[in-house]
Amino acid sequence: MTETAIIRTENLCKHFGQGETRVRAVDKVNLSIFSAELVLIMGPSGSGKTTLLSMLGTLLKPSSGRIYLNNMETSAMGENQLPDIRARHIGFIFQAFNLIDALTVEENILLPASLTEQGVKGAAKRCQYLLQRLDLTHRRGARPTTLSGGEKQRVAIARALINQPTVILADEPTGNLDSEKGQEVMMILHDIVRDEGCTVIMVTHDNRIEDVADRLLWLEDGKIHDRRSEVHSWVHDPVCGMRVDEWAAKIKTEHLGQHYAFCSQRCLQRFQETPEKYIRAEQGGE
Amino acid sequence: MIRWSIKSLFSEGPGLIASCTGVAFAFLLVLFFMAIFSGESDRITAYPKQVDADIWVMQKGVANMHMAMSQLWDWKEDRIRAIEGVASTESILYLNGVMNISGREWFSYIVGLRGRPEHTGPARMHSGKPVPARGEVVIPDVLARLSKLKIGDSIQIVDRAFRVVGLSSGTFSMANSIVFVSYDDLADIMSAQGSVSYILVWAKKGVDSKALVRAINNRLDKVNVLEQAQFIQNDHHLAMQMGVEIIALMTLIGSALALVIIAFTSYAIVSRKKRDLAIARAVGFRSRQIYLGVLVQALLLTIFGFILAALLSLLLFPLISLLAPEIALNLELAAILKLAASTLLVAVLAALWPAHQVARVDPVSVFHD
Repeated sequence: MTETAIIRTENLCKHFGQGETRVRAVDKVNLSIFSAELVLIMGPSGSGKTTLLSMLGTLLKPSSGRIYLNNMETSAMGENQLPDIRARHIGFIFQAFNLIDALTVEENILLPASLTEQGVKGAAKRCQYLLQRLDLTHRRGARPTTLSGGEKQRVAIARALINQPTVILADEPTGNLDSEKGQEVMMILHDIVRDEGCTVIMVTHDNRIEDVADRLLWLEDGKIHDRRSEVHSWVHDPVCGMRVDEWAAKIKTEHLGQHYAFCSQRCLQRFQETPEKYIRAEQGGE
Repeated sequence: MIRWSIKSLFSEGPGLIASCTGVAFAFLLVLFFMAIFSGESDRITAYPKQVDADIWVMQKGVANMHMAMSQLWDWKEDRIRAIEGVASTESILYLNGVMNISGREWFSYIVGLRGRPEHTGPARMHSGKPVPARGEVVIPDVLARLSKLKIGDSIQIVDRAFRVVGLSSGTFSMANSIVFVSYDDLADIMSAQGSVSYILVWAKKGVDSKALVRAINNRLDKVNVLEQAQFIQNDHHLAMQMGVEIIALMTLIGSALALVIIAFTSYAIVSRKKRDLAIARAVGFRSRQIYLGVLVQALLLTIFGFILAALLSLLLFPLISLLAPEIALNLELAAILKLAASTLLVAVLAALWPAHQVARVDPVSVFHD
């Protein structure tokens, strides 16, 4: 029997602007994500990762194409149906945590529960469980402003899980955390996939967390491809120093018999203007 | 969202206090004007109330006392006294006139007393004698204090001087004060010897006032006969009618001021909490639920402001009356309830402005750091 995808897209496109200024943020993306998968979406800045995540989360309407969540075509739904879909089927985790400062930790966690039939009272037990599981019991009455970054992200995870969603969409969840806290958050998400059977789709730049993912999708220039089986060949962009995969990089050049990979056209242009400056710097750095 | 509304409103701290105080002062202004008009209207009807006759008889076409002019032949009083069911009668001569005290003019009800003025004279005295003889006048104690007058001093009424012989209580109003002179003096001023303005009738015990009104009407021509309650109501209605436009205008100004403060506060909160609203929309709250949250904030702010205004009025109005007895303040429960109802409308209107912002909150903005 073929496994049914939790999230499926068909020729998903998102364009911004018109005419010459038109940008294809997401271009004919077809993907299928299955139950209890932890999927990373990676790619250079501005490649359309957040746009894709926003569309999967029903926050942004696609220009064309279809999105299915649990076999429901969310891309065809109206604004009156989508809040329900978000409340019941999707949990969000953000880089900036996005907790509400006026509410306590417990109230933040319970916020989405008020949108379901069980209500805040019905979700009290689940909240208690999540507080315990995420080691937040002692901080339940605290305000977000008094929490550490790691604690804030754990609260955000608990809030995302309170309604037992089908899928969690995480946007750079380790982006504002140090490596230790980032690792901790990743392990929590990993355990959630394992224990709750929840699908996690995560946008990230953090290569350190690749190992815990089931699958890695690479998004660049609006197009996506599966990188799970691909080989990484990490090199540094000689201009900005960003780590780029030489194998996957599209912006490359050759200079004096050496191959160089770049994160963007801008870096390539700079390199081409004064290559010796960057080669010297690279050698000096070494 | 209701919890969010309440908590985010309270997290405003000094901003919330400032807004509540502003709203409270706007409502206090409205309550003050309502109280002052009600108080003045009460004082305008103070005289007929204290006389407490069963029936008032006046010239045909006249139906009240405030700013009215009535003239009847005094023999009509004898005719009325002879009617079956009448216990007693008294009559007064009355003029809306101007008193000149130390260069300042005071609009007054000048009552000319005659016969046995136990009922028609001042009900309460502060000092001095209650019934003036020729050349004498009884003035309100508040007027004497404001004008720095004492018993024995002279004042001018219309074109002649009178000596102050008594100070009465409860007879002062900013619109008009009640002063008492002798019938003969006022008749001289008005050239109205043999005339009276109002004949006051007390019915015998057990006699129906309405039946007595009909009987007087049957017996006398060119008179208007009214029961006391109707006579007072006519005066009160006229006084309120004279002030109703001003009250309406002041209520409108006060309410508009409150509306602007509430709307601005709600708008400021929504502007500051845009991210909270975007989060709420992202996790599944509908626009109307978020709008309800904003409306709750506006309602709370209005209610707090109103309660503060009501408490301040209870504290300040008696203090004002104590320090400035010339200002008559009467805050009626009905007026407070009426204003309370209109404040709900203010809250709803005030929430419309930030609602526009709520509708424009983009949930995708939660992804931006």
